[in-house]
Amino acid sequence: MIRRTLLLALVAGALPLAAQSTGTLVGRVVDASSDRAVHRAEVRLDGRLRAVTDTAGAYVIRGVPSGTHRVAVSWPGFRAAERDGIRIRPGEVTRVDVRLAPVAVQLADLTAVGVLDPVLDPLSPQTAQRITSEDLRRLPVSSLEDAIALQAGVVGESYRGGRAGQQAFLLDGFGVKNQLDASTGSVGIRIPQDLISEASLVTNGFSARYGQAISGLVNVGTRDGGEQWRGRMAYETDRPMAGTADLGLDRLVLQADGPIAGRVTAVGIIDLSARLDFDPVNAPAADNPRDPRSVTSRPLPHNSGETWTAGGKLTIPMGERFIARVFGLKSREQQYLYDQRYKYEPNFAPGRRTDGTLMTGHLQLLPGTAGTPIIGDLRVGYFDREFVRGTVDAPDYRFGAFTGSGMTIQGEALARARDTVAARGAQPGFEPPTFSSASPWGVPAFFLGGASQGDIAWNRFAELRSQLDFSIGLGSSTDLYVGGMVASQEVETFQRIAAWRPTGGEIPGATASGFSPTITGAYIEAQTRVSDLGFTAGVRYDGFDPGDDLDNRTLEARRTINPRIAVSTVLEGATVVASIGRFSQPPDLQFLADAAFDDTTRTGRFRQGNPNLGFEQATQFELSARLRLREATSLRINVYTKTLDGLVSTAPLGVNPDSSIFLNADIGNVIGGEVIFERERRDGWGARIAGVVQRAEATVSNAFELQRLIRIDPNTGDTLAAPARANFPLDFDRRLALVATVDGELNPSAGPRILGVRPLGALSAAAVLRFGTGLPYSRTDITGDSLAAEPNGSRLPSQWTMDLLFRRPIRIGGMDAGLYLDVRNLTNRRNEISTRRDTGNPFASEATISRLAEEAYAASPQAIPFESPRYRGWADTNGDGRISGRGELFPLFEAAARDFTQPLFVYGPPRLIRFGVEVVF
Amino acid sequence: MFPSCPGRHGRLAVVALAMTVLAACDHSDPFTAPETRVDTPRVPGSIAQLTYSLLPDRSPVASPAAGAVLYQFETGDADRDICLAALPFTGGTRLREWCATDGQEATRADFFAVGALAEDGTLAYTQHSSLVFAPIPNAGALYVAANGDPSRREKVADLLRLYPGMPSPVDFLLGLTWTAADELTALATTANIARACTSCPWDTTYVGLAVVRIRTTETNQLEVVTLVPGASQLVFDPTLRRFAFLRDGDVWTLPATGGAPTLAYDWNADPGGREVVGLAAGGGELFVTRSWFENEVFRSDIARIVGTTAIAVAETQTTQGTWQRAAASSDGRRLVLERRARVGGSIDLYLVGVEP
Repeated sequence: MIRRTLLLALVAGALPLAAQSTGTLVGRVVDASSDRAVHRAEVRLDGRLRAVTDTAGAYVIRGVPSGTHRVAVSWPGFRAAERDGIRIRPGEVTRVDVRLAPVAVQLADLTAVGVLDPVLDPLSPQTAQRITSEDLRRLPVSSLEDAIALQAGVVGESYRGGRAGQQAFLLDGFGVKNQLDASTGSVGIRIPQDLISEASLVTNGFSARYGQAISGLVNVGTRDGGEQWRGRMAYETDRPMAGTADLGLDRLVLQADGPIAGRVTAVGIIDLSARLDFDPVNAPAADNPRDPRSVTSRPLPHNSGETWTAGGKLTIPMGERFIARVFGLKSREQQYLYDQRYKYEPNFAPGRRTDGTLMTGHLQLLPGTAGTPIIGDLRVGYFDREFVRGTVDAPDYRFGAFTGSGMTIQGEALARARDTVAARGAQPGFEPPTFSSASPWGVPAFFLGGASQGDIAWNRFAELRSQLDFSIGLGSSTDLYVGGMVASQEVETFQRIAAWRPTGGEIPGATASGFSPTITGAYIEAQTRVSDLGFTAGVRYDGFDPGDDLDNRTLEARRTINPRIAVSTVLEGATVVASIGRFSQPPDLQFLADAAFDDTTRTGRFRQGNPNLGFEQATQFELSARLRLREATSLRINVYTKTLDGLVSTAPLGVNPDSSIFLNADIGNVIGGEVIFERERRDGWGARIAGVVQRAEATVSNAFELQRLIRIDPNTGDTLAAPARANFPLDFDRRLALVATVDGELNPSAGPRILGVRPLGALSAAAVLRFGTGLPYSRTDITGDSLAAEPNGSRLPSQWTMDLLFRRPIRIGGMDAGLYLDVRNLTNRRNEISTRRDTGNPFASEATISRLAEEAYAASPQAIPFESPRYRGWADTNGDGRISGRGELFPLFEAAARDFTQPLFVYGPPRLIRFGVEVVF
Repeated sequence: MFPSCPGRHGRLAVVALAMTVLAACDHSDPFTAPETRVDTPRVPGSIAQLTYSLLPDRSPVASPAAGAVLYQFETGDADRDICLAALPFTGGTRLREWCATDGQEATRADFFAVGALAEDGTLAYTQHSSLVFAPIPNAGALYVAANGDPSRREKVADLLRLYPGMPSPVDFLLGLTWTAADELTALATTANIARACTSCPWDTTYVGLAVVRIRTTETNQLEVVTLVPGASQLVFDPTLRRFAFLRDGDVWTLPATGGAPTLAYDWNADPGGREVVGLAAGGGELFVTRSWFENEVFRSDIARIVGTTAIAVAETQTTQGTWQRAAASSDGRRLVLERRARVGGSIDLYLVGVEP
């Protein structure tokens, strides 16, 4: 029986675990009175005949949409058995064994339901960390990103030490990637929690089906509409918190799904969120009592943001073998960006807006009841992401931090037109900033006002992608996957700095680009089983063509072949998987185009794009062991080594220190191990501990770091000096990380009864503890421009946080409802997430403060008379009506320098508390 | 007995109420810049010093609609810009400042000679530019800037050019005044820029040409109201809607609608030979500043024109400096005047309260 079940599972487990919106249902139907197999029993899924059992009583239904289904089994002579609420998870095999009772015998039918053990599944070569909708609900997370950050090997958007942007994002199997600036920008769309059926993070030998990534896949399955209308409405806020604990949060979520006509179902969601302190920091209050931040350290002014997301999905069954899905999602994130330079006139600080639109269509061919089982997926989608940053009007708040309107960026029309000729002159409406007179110190130094910096940055990335995938069952032990994709992309960029000045001299010309790359991919992969061994072998072709309209040149297409192999076997209570694979991704398209300024390093240096960049590549070998310790506990141990090659870095162009170019010049290596202990959620509680030890190094720490060992001849393009193989830690090289989560739920009768209510009854709680050793950074000299030690040769302090979530269900008028309290960083730990590179701590040195003050004083030694808005009576020590001379002026410059250099964004977020009310209808 | 739990609708109401209460709370506000401005003189009194700059503060011009006086001040920057500021008639901190701020301004010396604020905040002003350290301007124009924002300025008239009906090029406009929503009136002058010796500072003498009316909706349209050759100052009294100007020490008045000037005060008739230096008008009254040499001492005072005579305003006679150009508040109760110190020669603004 066990062997039969395993074989059944092997046959059924054909689909790669990753990146699917469907799962597989398998099972065996037996006569309850004799345990003999029932041949030709009819298995119906949601009322439709989908399979008949074979001579062994086994059945397989592939391509079952994720979600909850009803399974019914019938055959003449037996009483029909039916079981509702069967949960199908994306990429997983769910087993439903059925014992049919003969009509003549009065035995109750018995249905056993189980999920094929994902821990031991030998046909799951991926290292996938799953996030269920239940996890999203039970854990203190408020977004998919929050949940992914709890997984082993994740630091921000870096996976296994890689750079940000080396991952791909799959939504219901459809690839979505911000190919333009994934290393520095967001995807542009946000998947509301309530829309997610299940998500997983795959960090190793992901299937050959997927490209455009070298460090990981984020795979999200969205829910289909149910058979009955249902929904959830939630509002969360921190309004009841007073003072600095009130960061101005308001969030409203409204979700509903259900049938709309026949078997057509729909899901719709609106998720609106705003916070006055969108990017809160746990910086200490200012020391100087004249500094307004000494009293109100939070929220920061002009630091608000709002996100609006609306999405919907239609699921349209078409006959017995086709399902069509139409999905749409639109997100907007806009944020006012606090800038210390504009501390006292914050409304001149910049803002940014990111709009994302995703529309997909998915036609799925389901296998028939006879013949070779084939699942076909045709996906066509359009993804559009637009980013703009620059001068904004002061926010006009309507409710909390909601403005109710789209942020308008000054000069946006010029940017959209990409008119670099018109952009040469000083742009109307822009004025140069002046030194603010509103600071407590008055002196003309450091703090700006009167006008914005006048920067305009705009880019747009659009992609029309088509994917065709087939999963073909070849006999009882082999499955074949074949398919391909093509994506036509469109890139537009524009950058202009100091728009109040004509270009020329210190002001580089505006840059603009518009080109249309194409990426292609094709793959073939097979999985076969021999006894307890599983083999997965695939090869993927990736092509990347920048198009012929970049830089008015015809550029060559780049191609790469990426083989991937995995071998797995089941040993005594454990599955061991060895995998090796090569992965490629096209470079960020931003590296192909010129830039007027560099928003990552803020060097202000002109940066030259390189249209000839090729693929970034990685080769990863992993050995993993997955052990089922006890019925509810498991242990996964993964060790891996990854070779990085051709990563983009910046090289000096000639001897001009202010000019550089991007090259595929970086090579590196990541080696590490992960241990994940998990206790499944049973008996009211579950727990998970994930630990990672790793080292991630490369010749250059990130794409914007100058590759100092080589130089490019601007005339010939020749490399003037060969690179030396000296590796330095990558920016996300976290050597040791630990994430522990535990959650539990009390039974409804727990706790004392007070006024007829049990406050602790059915109370659920979850805690997350995170610890990570410090990330690397580069020490510089006091100027901040020259390295004083090896790149990334120093480390930040360790970080840790503890998060809590309490949720208490209640009933309201026959509806399920709940109250929840979500606390992040419970201990209000002040984590340093960056530092001053010259001092190695968040604070400027006294020498730096003195130097800044001296320079500022030397530039503006003029007396400040009483009538000037810069006059401060308390500084006029001799009472002559003017602040004059070094004795009176310099202390002001020194205080201003100290104020200006006080650390803010070097600290992570403070304790965040939110209250929530939800109603399920 | 415990009270019974709210019923179905009651519980819904409780949750709705809770959500309403949550939403009704205000969020905490972020910090804001501390208020450092004052609207009183540093040392209040019937005569109070308003400006303490070590550099000259000159040419106060009343902007009645804004309740402010606009004047020139120097920044002390390397390019020697002269800027414009608005000061409340009560004294205190400057309300606004206008300096050349475009990207090329550091390569020029910019001179904001005169400005006027309208009720809606629109600023009219002149800007002249020269090479740094060069005294002769090579560009000049009258601008109008909505909301006082120079980035939204529009040029109304070129200066340093000859206009029809003018005997000489119009180099500067003085006494700029809003006389209608789209109309300015000013004294068009030609400038004589010279210095007495090679090491002496450059001195600019404005020689009046005509009182002109300028429509802000048109460009380079200067309408001559009346020719006033040799006039040196022009002030406007919103109460009587009349102008007054100085010429050769005499005070003349002129209706806002135009017409022939009327002699209001003949300084030759002054028995003490007090020279009229400055002129102000407000609240239906005219004020002059005077200076003279008496008993081996230079003296200066402020006087009110009553009939054809000038009556000294009490306590304004001083030997410490010279009262010069002046501006009066619209009710005629306050005067803002520039005063050149006898020792050191600094020029600052003073506020003088005037009894009715």
